[in-house]
Amino acid sequence: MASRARRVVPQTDQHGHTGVVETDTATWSPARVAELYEIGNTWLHRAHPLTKLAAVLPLSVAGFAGDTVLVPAIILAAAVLTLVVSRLGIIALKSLRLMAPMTFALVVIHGIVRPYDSEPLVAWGPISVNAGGLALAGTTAARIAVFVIAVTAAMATVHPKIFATALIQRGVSHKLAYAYLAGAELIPEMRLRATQILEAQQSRGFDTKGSLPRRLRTLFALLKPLLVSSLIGVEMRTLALESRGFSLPGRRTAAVAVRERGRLLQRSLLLASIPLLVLAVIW
Amino acid sequence: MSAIKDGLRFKTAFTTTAWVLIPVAIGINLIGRFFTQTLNLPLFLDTIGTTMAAFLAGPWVAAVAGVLTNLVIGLTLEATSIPFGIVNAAIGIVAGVMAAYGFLRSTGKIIVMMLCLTAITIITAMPLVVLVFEGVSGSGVDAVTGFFAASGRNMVESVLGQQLLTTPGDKVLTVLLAFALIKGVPQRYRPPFGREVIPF
Repeated sequence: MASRARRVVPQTDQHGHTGVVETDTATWSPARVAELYEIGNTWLHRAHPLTKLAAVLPLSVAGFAGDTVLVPAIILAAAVLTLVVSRLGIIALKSLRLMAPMTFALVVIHGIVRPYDSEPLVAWGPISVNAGGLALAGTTAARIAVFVIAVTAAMATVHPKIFATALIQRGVSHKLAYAYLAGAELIPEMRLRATQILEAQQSRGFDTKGSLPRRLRTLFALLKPLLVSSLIGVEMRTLALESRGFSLPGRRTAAVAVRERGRLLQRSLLLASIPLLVLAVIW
Repeated sequence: MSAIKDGLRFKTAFTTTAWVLIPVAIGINLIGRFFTQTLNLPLFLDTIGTTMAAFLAGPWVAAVAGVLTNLVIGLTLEATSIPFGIVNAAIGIVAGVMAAYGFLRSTGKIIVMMLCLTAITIITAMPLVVLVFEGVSGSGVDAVTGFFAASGRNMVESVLGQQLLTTPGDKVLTVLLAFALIKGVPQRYRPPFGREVIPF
């Protein structure tokens, strides 16, 4: 967790581009850093957060066009190439790493395990590899990978705080944006606390490797302090938010301004999904 | 009873406490999964936070917590969890409505709730797993799907078999843990809805 402790400060330059800079990490809580976010100043970092999010829909829908691996594979290759050229190869790697277990399961279930009437491509004892099954596994994996890489590229290049601000500026409830942002920030914090509780309970002799009933008892012992403290903390947080006027009506001004741009592009991208969806259904 | 009515009404359900509870539910959902993986338990427990939110603040707050859990995890950790927000939301709605109608007040009713949560999970998750992911989820349960597929069953039957084997245990434990853990929290720290649906 400590290796991810990078301080990120959202900044808006003289052209109105919003990005983030890395500064001293010594005093910054690792709990405040989103796990997926990659610091940088590429064109993808500078693009409006909602433009990137809007692009996910047509790309993902286009991935489902055709019943072969061709279309999703072309989109995937283009996306990986674009990311590598933009020095964001790490995002492509992250996406492909996320896809690895699913791709493995698809290949095993559809390509090897599932019986087919057609002749196998390769047969080795009871194990046989089927070409049709492999093609289905490849097509499905490529389709899901297009969605994964589009979401990862969109979200790994925007700090959650800037994303939440962009949503509020577009009229999304500040309460909903708070819940999203607080949830994103709470994930690493809760993980840290969970690890601390796990280590503390292990030092008290709780068995994490025993029989199933024993491990279930340990699970309860692990969850109880975390959940009770979280629920008690809810009251304190509620009071803190109320004292800051959380439930007061009216528009909020954000500490970080995201320049309003790309509305037409965002609408065009969303509209482009409709013909692509029709194409995906009929093709 | 007014807190239960407020929790069931969309307009009055979202108090400041409810909004604060949502990120906590998101965190708990994630931690449930983390602990089961650490302890090598054949469970997910990734809806325990949503279920707790349903018992403490009602169906609508739990539904938002469920959708946001998968959105936050999808947008910050693994994108493939986004479509399953529907499953999480459905669990929150069913658990919240049943809690409001007194299904946490006797053992028999709690068992009915567990069965309903199992059914709603299978009904909502199965079409997604079959149509979008061709039967796989990228987790250990794929081995069970593979076993059914190897025996010549089609993908719908294989996924249904896998879900029928793995979901009930997970949902039984989710409800039991959520109930027991909330009972362990002093009444004064529970939101009004939670105080009324679990009045002991």
